[in-house]
Amino acid sequence: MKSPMTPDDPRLTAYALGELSPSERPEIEAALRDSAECRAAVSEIRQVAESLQVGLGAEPCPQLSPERKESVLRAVPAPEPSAHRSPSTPGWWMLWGPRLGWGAAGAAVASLVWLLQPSAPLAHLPSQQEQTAQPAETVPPAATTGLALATSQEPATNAVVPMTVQSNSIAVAPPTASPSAPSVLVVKSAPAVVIVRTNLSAPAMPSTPVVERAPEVLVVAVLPPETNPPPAVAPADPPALAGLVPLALNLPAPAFKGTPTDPPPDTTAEKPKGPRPAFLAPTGCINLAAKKKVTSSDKAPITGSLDLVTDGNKEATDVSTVELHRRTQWVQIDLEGKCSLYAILIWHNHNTPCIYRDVIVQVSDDPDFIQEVTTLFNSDNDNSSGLGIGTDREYFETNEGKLVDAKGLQARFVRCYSKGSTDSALNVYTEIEVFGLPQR
Amino acid sequence: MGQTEWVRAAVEQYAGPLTRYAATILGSSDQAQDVVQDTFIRLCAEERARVEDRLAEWLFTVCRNRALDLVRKEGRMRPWNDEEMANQPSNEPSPAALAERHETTEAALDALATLPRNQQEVVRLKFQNGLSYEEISHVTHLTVGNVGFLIHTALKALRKQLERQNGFAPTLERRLS
Repeated sequence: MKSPMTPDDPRLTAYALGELSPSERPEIEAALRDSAECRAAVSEIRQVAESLQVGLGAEPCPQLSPERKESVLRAVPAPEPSAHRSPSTPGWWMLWGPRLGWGAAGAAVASLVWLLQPSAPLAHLPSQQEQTAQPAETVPPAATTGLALATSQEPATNAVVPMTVQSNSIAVAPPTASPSAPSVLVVKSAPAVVIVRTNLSAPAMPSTPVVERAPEVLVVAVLPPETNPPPAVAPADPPALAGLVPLALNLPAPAFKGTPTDPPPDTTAEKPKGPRPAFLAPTGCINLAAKKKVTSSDKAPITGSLDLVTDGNKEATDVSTVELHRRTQWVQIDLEGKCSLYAILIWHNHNTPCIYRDVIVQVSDDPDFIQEVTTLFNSDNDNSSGLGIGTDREYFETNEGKLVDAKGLQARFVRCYSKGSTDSALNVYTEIEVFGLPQR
Repeated sequence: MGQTEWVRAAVEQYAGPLTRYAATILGSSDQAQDVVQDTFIRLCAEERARVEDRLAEWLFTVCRNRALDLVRKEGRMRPWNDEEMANQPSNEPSPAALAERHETTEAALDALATLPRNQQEVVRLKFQNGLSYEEISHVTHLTVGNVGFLIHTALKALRKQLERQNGFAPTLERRLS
């Protein structure tokens, strides 16, 4: 026989607050019929609840300032004909702009922008006549990259003028409205990233966009390719091995400056030592994960959606990330066929130099990861995620992402685990790329 | 309703309660406004159909996560069930609000301020913001059972304190003595 319900039963509180399901209510209602003490307890709970509702409801409830409301409403995306999120808005300037005072930088869509100081005439660039002789319309539609150059004659300009990008050309606006507005000098196609130097002694490529006070500012913008082949930005070409070439990676813009502070004592991570060396892979490796279906242990992500993991947008913005709940969570990519895999790149949340915990990367042909699972990377050195003790080092998040060597293994599914980071208990993913040879 | 109107309506309805809630985590009204602004900017990027039917829960979840991230970043993180948090005072209400309060109400709020912060949080989510046990469990990443137990424990403590002051809860006092 069940012992009689006491007034200290949490279910009485739940009942008094209307939180019990219909199936649970009869037992409580029977107890209430039998026990005057329980009835009195429910009555008291409701009195306290009412006092709390009245008292807490009267606490000051400050509204957002009109400026903040406006900035929220400006973030509402314009209606699009297709439901798919634009892959590159907002871009890096949303992160860098406010810090550098680029209030006007708005609509430019560029994967890479370098700002250099030309201290010599633009002798090696086509003249304006040449430029008009080669209008943008002559660029073949299949050209993968566009290049635009602009100079400002105004000294000490600290602003980037809004640029709009359409196909292979960049329009700098307003073209003539202000004397400080730069004019477009060259619009032409280019096969890949082009580094323009007007003075050989000048630093080649700053690691982050920097605007300095200079009599002239040269803007070089390289548009994202219209199709998928990424431009080669490998830091250095290692000696070529038979059949292997440096893997061409298209990295997102850095979202923070400098290097991380010293690693916390409880991590195996080391401070990054300069750019990652190029990774050698067979010719013809492509990102097999692009637009592929993603599943997860978290059926209802807190923000974002799982398709953001393979949507091609790696920039460190709020709209390019999916945020999974706390504790160990995984995301899994279905490559839709058994492929030879060479490198897996993971960007969790590279807007701060945090360290993700228990990063485990596995491949398998079993969608449930029960049979014939190969672990390629495991930084869970205390087995707190229960998949075995890992011996790999933890690492700092950067715009380079984490490259895991897949060693040419053949598999259809890739699964990546994590268990929060030094920055947050949640599990954020910006992008995962899986480089390999497509199925024959 | 268009997307802009939908977001505007959400801001009108929830910005105040969210700011008040974030301020209890951050202890700063300015930072709370930053967090709430960020929460709504994230809402703009969300697919409306995905969050519409659980808007309050989504907003409180994102707001809480952002606030806790900020707390961690600033190195102020301490576990919420830490014993030393038991006597953490809550934000002082305005004098006008104080004057309007009934004595029992005032006593209940004073007693609430003495509870551990994790209990205060679920009590606020329940009685200040009207979230259900299930919604609170999603916001705080606790189980529904945990939420029920925390609220029960909090109300029990409040009843006991009020009884000491004015004979409010004779039933409980008899049972517990």
